Amino acid sequence: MNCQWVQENLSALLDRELPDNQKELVESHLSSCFQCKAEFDSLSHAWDALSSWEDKDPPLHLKDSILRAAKKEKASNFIRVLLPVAAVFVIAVSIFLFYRGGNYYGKQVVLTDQKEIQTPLPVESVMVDENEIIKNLQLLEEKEFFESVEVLKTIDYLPLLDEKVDNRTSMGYYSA
Amino acid sequence: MENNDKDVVLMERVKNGDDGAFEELLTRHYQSVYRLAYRFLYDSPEAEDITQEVFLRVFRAAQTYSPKAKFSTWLYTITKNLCFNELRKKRSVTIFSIEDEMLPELSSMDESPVSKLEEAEVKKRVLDAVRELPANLRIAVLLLKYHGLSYEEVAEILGCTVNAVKLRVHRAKKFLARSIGYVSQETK
Repeated sequence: MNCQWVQENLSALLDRELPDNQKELVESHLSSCFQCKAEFDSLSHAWDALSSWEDKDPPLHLKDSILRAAKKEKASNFIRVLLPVAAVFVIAVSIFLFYRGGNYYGKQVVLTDQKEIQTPLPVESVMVDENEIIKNLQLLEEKEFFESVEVLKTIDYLPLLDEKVDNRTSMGYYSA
Repeated sequence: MENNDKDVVLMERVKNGDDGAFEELLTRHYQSVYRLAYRFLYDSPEAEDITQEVFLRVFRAAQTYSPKAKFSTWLYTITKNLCFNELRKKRSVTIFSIEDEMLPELSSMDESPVSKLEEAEVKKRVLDAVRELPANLRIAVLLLKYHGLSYEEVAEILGCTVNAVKLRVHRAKKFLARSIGYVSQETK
């Protein structure tokens, strides 16, 4: 039996991680090899000595603070999820109202058209005398002529300009 | 119902928004998480922060949780990762792989036989020896010794093989034996 192989497996023997067949071989060797037994004892004592390091209890507030942090996380997650949902909802409602309004007016137009088709506007038949129209037109023309004459009477002619300086005449310079 | 089955049921209830289930899960495990973090970092406020962060991660992960591994194994994996992160921040050192895990040299003071020491001194040596272990060896020792995990579970948590765990634990035990003073000068 190789001492090196045994010593490499002493730790696994301590931890009960050796398969049964290897465990028997190592234990058999330890019963006859003083050096390997000393190595095993030192490892065993050291491993046992670790038990002197007792468990330390966590502080009393730790559990509550973790629960509080988790609740806070949940609340922020809720808001994080809710905000986009709310935004989508508002957009959806806006779009719905927009199209609903459009359809409403559209329906009105359709209804109006249908109504117009179904009930055409009443046409009044009036007898028109052509001579009377001509007479009225003549009266209108006369009225416009006399009004123009009245306007011409109100024109004040501006003084003549010096022809040497400017060849322009005073024709057309008037204040209406 | 086995412990793990109960944890899985509780996680399902947490997933469905049951606050009571989360509290029950917390009550069942927060002491173990705190103790592992405390023994690893040897600092109570940091262990509290890590315990809180572990359970908040559990709470967040409830929606996507699927019981692929044992619940406690998953919990210890989160704890280990957070502890290693804390150690990196604290010491600004890299967590070495097993090949690079150099055990510290023992001072002459550590060589006095433990049989001549008082109980308090033994305890102090134990604490000092565990604290001096490299991170990967220390976490393996803590999970095995104080949390009763198997090599297989420790391997899953550390993300290594069972043989790697076996080797780490063996090296750690040899270091502890020498450091505490259970190895005589003849057998060193």
